[in-house]
Amino acid sequence: MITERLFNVLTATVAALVVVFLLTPIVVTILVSFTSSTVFTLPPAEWSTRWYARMTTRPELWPSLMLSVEIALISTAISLVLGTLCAIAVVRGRFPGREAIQTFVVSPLMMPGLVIGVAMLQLFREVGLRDAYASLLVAHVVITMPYVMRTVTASLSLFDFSLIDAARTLGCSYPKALLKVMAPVLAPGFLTGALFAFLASMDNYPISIFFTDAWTKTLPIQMLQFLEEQPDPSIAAMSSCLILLTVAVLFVGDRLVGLRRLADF
Amino acid sequence: MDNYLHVIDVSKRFGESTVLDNLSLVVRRGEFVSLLGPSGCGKTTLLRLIAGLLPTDGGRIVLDGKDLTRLPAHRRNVGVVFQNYALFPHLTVAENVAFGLRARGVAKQEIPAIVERCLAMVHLADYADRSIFALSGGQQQRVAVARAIAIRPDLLLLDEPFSALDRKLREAMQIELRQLLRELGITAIFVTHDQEEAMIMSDRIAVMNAGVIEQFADPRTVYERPATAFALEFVGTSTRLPGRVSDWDGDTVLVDTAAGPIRARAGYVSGAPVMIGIRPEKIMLADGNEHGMNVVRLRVLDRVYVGSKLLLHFDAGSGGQALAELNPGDAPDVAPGDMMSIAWRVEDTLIYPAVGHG
Repeated sequence: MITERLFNVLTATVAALVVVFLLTPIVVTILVSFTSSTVFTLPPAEWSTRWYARMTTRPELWPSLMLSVEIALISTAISLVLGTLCAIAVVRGRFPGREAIQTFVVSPLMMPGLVIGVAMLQLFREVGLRDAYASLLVAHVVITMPYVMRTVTASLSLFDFSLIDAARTLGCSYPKALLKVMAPVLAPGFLTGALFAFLASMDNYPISIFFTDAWTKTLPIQMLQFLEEQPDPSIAAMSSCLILLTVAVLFVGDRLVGLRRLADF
Repeated sequence: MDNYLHVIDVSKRFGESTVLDNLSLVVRRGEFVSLLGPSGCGKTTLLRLIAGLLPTDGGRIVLDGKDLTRLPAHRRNVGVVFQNYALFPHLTVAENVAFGLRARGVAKQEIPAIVERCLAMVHLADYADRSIFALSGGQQQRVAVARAIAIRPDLLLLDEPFSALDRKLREAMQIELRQLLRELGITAIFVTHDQEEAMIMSDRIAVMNAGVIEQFADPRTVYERPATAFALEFVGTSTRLPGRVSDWDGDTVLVDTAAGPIRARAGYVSGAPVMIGIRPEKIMLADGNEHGMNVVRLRVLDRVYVGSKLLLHFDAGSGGQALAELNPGDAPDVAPGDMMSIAWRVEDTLIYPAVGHG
């Protein structure tokens, strides 16, 4: 009994420490963003929202934010289509090399971003793709596909295909059965994959760095440049906004799918 | 009753293996037919061909004069109750039942009344707004039935719908479903590997084995006069004794078996290898008046009392066993090891060509 209670107390303590360790940087960032001072001080001597105001007046911010959102949305949409088709082939297909395909598509998750970035840069130069926007988009499809592929494969392998048969005998053509039954049943998987893909694209740095130019900079790269050139707490304000975005996305995911299922993928 | 569904020379192959080979079946209007056979005999494949969920590799399927062979599943108006029910998890009970009606474009204002009526038929009127996850297995099965009959199918197919239910519930559902389908006058084909279930439910049973219908008859005929050795073995219990024909006169053959000589009504040439079959309830204790009967004297191996009857297992020689089903009062003091004379009518002796010897 005593050892069991001791064990429980111990695990609870360790868990609490881990949570504190993970949350501290986030809390610090948010606190710093509300300082009135021009330097990063903790705790802030005086509170103000001036850095949020300053953030909105930095001319380079909006283009890069719009670019990041645009790239994230488009690459996520492309990944949803390609990743789903790929997942169907892997789960339903009966051909050799299915597992290899799955591993290949998911591999960008396991490889260092720099390696992928260098490799793609060389490839793009070789085939003559020099346009920064197009390069970024292709690179981000590669980044986001694994998330879609993984979640859709997981939900597809749990999908009961006799539901399609049932819908067909009840009067749905095959395509209509896919739309009326498979799409809604798999919706949580699509949604989860899309949310993670979107976030992965939004904050990607190591791969994007290879494909930006003076006019085409994604948000993380622009922020790092701010940090190098004119560091002030407005960067903390931007970070806080990104944290808010992530929390919002997770909240939406929880509402629609449930956090427990999100964590499963 | 007129003929309603014609399955004509239908074949189905999966790659190299032929699952159904030129199979034909005629079902009458309003009839309840069971496809009975072991797993892998092709019964579910036949069901899926009739439903249009699989394309045929030859042959035709005609329902009420309409050729369905080339029609896709969604235009056949054939209802299916699936083995795992295949209820839509994202819809409520009522929405599941309404699914087919919506897909068929039934007028919106008519749908709730039809759904309500169908749910009432399966005693689930109060469950309309529940999630299907909140239902028990038996209730899910009822929803599946309600969903299938809501579209007023020309034919209802049921693929082992009771296999996931426990015994007591299964028996109640069998009777209930049979009554419901009789009331509605729906022609139904029912796939099962449970011979007792087939007996209880069906007007006629098609005994299937290896892609072929071995016998298609009413339950009593299937039980008392199995057409093949497979039907004898698969339906009910029986004593099966291999033997060789030793004599033949007109309509009776004499067969040498390990249990002794046995007469049967058949025409086989002398020397032909055969299989003798006897249903356990046809066997009685010999009482000295055995005119027109087969009598053998065997050693009792085991005695099993099951309340309404007494089962006696006999050593039939060469490792074979004979099984007799008696009234408990008929042999009160039999013990294993006793020698007993048992008898049965020559007419009740079933005989088949031995399997594997042509």
